Amino acid sequence: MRGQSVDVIVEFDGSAAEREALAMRQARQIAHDDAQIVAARAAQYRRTKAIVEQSVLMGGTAKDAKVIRNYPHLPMAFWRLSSSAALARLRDHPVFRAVYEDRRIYAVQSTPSDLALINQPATVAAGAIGSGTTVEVIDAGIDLTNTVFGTCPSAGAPGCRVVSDQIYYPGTTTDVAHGTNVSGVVAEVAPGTNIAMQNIFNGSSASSTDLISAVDWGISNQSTYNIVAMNMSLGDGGDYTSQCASVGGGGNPLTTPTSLAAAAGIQAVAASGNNAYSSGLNWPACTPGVASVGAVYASNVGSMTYSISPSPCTDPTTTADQVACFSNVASFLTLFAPGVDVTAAGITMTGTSQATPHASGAIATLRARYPKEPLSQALTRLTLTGTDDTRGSISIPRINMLAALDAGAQLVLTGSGPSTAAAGSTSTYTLTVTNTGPLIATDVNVSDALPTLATFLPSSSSSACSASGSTVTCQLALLAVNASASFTITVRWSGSGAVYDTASVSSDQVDPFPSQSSVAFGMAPPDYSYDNTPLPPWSLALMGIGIALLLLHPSRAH
Amino acid sequence: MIADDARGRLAPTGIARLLAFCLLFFLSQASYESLRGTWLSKTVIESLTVTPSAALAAAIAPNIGIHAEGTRIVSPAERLNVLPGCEGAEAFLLLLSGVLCARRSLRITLVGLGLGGLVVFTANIARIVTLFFAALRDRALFGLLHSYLAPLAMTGIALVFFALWLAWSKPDETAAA
Repeated sequence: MRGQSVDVIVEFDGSAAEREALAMRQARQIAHDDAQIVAARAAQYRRTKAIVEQSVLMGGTAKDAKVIRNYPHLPMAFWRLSSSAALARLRDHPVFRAVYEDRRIYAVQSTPSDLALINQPATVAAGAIGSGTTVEVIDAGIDLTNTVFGTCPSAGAPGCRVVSDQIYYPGTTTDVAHGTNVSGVVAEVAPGTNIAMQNIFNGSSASSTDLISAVDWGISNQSTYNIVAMNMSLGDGGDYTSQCASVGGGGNPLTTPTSLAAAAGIQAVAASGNNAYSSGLNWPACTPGVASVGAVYASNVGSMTYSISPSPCTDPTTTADQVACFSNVASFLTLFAPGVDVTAAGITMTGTSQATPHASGAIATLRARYPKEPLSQALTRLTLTGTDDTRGSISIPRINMLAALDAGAQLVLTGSGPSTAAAGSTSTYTLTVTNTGPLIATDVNVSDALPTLATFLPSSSSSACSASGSTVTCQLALLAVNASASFTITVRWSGSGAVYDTASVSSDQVDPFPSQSSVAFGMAPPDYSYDNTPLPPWSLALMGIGIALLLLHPSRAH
Repeated sequence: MIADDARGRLAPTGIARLLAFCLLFFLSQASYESLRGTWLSKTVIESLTVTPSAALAAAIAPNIGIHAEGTRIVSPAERLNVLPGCEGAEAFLLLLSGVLCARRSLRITLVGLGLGGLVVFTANIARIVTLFFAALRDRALFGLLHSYLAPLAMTGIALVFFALWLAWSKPDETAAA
C-alpha cells in the first residue's frame, strides 16, 4: 500500500443503535423507524464514528487516513487509506466491522403492454393508486418536462410529482431516457405516488459509494416524503448464484444500508440483470432483503433477438407470461414483471430495468392502502398472489396487483361467556382471536356489544379493552400468522335474567371468511316483528266508522 | 244521489259522502299497496319511521346502544323489525279520505292533511318506541300493547284530531264534493 492510497467503504458496529431503535419501536408500537428513531440512530452512529476517528485518525493529525464521505444515517463511511498502518489501526478498532471496495455499477442496459398483465387497471379502479407515497428512483436522471410527472418547472414545485431531483455529477452526460422511462413506469403503475430521483451516474456508470449515499438520503428523507420503495434498475453485470453475502471477493456493502432502509420503511427493489443467466443475478439484486425482479413478456410480440452481454439470445416465439431470454433468473429471484417493449413517459424500452419499476409501483400502491402493515408484507402480498412463470426448473411469481391488494387475513373469534346474570354479581367474557393467515393482521379490533344489564369493569379487564356506551373494544396493533391473542372483559350485572352477548373482530385486512369472525353467548332474543297489519282490523274499522260518523254529523259536516 | 242545496248548487247527500269516503280510502290504499318495495315505501319505513323511532329510543335510553339498521331498531338485547304495514299508512289514508270528503276550502283541506299526517306519524313513532321498550323489559306488556292498547290509542288520537279539525273549520259553501 506504500506510496498509493485506496478508497474503501468502512462499516462500523451499529448494534447499540439497533438496540436503541428496537426499544423505541416497541415503546411506540410502530413497525418501522419514524423520524425520531432515525435521528436517534444517526446520533448513535455519530458518536461511534467520532470514537473511531479519534483513535484511527489520531484526532485529525494522521496523514495516512482521512474520511472522504460520511453516511450520516448508516454506520458506514467512505475512507481514503494511504498506508498499511492506517488499515491496521482501523481493523484493530473494536467497533470496526468490515471494509468494502468501491464497485462500478451500470444502468441495466435496455435494448430496442404491460399494465393489463399485472391487473393494474382493476387496481386503480379499486381506488388503489399509491397516494401519499414516494418511490425513490436511483438512476441516471429524469426529464422533468415530461408531462407524465405533472407540471414541473422544478422538482418539488406544486403540481409536480417529482418531489426531489438530486444530481450527483452535474454537467456529465447520463442516460436520462433510462431514468425517465423507469420513473415513468412507476408513475403509471401507481398514478398517485411521487418520484424522488437520485441521479448517481457519472457518465455511463456509477459507484457503490454513491449508491450508498442515495440509500442514506432515502433513510434521512423517508418521513419527509413517505418513501416506501427504492428502485434500483442497475447492476454490476455479475453472476451471483446465491444471495450475495460477498461481492467481488469482499463483503456486500449494501447489506447494512438496505437493512436499515427496511427498518425505516423502505423496500429496496433491484433489476435481476439482462445477461441471460439461468441461475444467477447481478449485484445489488442478489443482496439479501432486496426484492429482485426479472422480466416477462406481456403479450405475443413475435420472434425477438437481443444483443446482450456476454452473448446474444433469441426467443423464436413469444407469449404473455413467457420469461424473456435476456432476463437473469435464479431460485432466489423474488418476482417477475413485464419488461419487453415497455412504453412509459413516451419512451419505449426493454429490460429488467423496466420490470423493476412495475414492482416498485405495486409496492407503493400496497403501502398506501395498508400503511400499518410491516414493510415485508407488501412483498409477501406480491409473492403469495402472483402467477407462477417458469423458465427451466425455476418458477417465480409474476405480479398480480389486484390479487395482492385483495389478499387478506382470516380471523377466527372464539370465547366463552355467561348466559344468565345475577344482580350485583360479576361475570367474565373471554375472547380469543386467532389469525389463520395467510397475512399478518394489523389494527385488530375485537368489539363486544354487552347485554343491557352489564356494566364494564375496566380494572378487572384486559388493559387493551375500553368501553364506549355498551360496546367494549379491545385493540391489538398486529397479530402474526397463526398467532392468537386473548382478552378478558369483566362486567357487573345491574339485574338478573337471561343475557345475550355478541362479539366480532375486524382488521385492516380483507377477511376471506368473515362468518368465523363473530361469536355469540347466551340465547339470542326472539326477533319481534309485526305482520302486514300492525294495527288490527278492528282498530282500522273503528277509525273508519268514527271518521264516517263525524263526516255525516250535520253539526260538523255542514 | 245528489240534490240541490239551499243555494241551488249540487251537494252530496250523506250516503254519497259515505260512498266517496269508502271509495277514496280503498283507492288510496290500493295505490299505496302497489308501491310496496319501491323507494317511496322504503323511505316511509326506514327514513320516516325506523330512523326517528330509533333516535327517540336512543335519546330516552342513551346507554344501551340503540340504533337503526335498515328496517330494524337494534340494541344488544332486543331487535324490532318494522315491516311494511307497520308505518301507520292505513291510519293516515283513512284520515286523508275523511279530510278530502269533508267539503272544506283548499287551504283548510291542506292544513288537515299536513297536520293529520304529522299527528298519525308522530303517534305511530310513539307506539313503536313504546312497543320496543315493552319488548325489552316486559314481554307480557308487549302483547297487551301490541294487540289492544296501542291500536286503541292510535284510533282515539286520529278521531280526536279529525273531530277537532272539523269543529275548527267551516264548510266551504262554494265547493262541491
